[in-house]
Amino acid sequence: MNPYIAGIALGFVLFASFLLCGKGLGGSAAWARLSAYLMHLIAPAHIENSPYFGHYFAHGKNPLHFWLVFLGIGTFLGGLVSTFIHGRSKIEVNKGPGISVRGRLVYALAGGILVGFASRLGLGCTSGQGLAGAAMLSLGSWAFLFSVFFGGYATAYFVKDGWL
Amino acid sequence: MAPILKIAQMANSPVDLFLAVCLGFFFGLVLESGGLANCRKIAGVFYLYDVTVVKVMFSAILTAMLLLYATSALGILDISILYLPDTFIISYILAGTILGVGMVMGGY
Repeated sequence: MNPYIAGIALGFVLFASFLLCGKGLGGSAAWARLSAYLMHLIAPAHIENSPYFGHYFAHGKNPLHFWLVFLGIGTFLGGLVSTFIHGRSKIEVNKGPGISVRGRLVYALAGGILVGFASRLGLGCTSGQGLAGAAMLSLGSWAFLFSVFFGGYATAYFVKDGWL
Repeated sequence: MAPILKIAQMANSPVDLFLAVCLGFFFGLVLESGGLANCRKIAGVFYLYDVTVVKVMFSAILTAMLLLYATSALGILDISILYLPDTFIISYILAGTILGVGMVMGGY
């Protein structure tokens, strides 16, 4: 799809979210809550007493009973349907030409840990802060967004074997 | 007046959560259609071989921003009660930088 058309469509979806529910679209909260839920299965007392995750479970609450988790379920389904529409639904490890599958997965895990931590520190990821916050002209969101580009460009040279 | 469900005091009601799934569906559909589910396109931004992600992102921000402020000016949308994270500039700069490092490593 033409990227400008996709962008305008994305802008309408984001606007609809604000207009209907009063909240923007976010991607990372669902993952944080899913992780908390899974960790809770293994070490319930530890997670309930965790200063960060504890409030997900306050008063016997289910951490998955949360708006952004439902949004995440929809996002998964929408993405899946889109791969069928565009005929690109397949199981693969998408990577640059010069890296092994194993190397790509190591980079993905390391990058994922950093993104996961950063999205909690920043109260959002490129969706919640980068799209929703930026569209509301929040100064903090714009500072976040430009810092993402800064961090990416500053690091790109050192991990170029992963992509080029 | 909008935001409709917030004003109707129906935040986190079954209707609100059902709408979340619907909005998410279109969110995922548009993201994947635009190529943002492809890690090589995400990485492309940082090596300038493919800037699709930047085109999608900034057209989305601009579109949503114009719609938000236009409907607010027309008195349809009360922008002041929309969810907005508090501003912690130093934390956000740090978080954004770490996220950028992770993004170019992981591709998402």
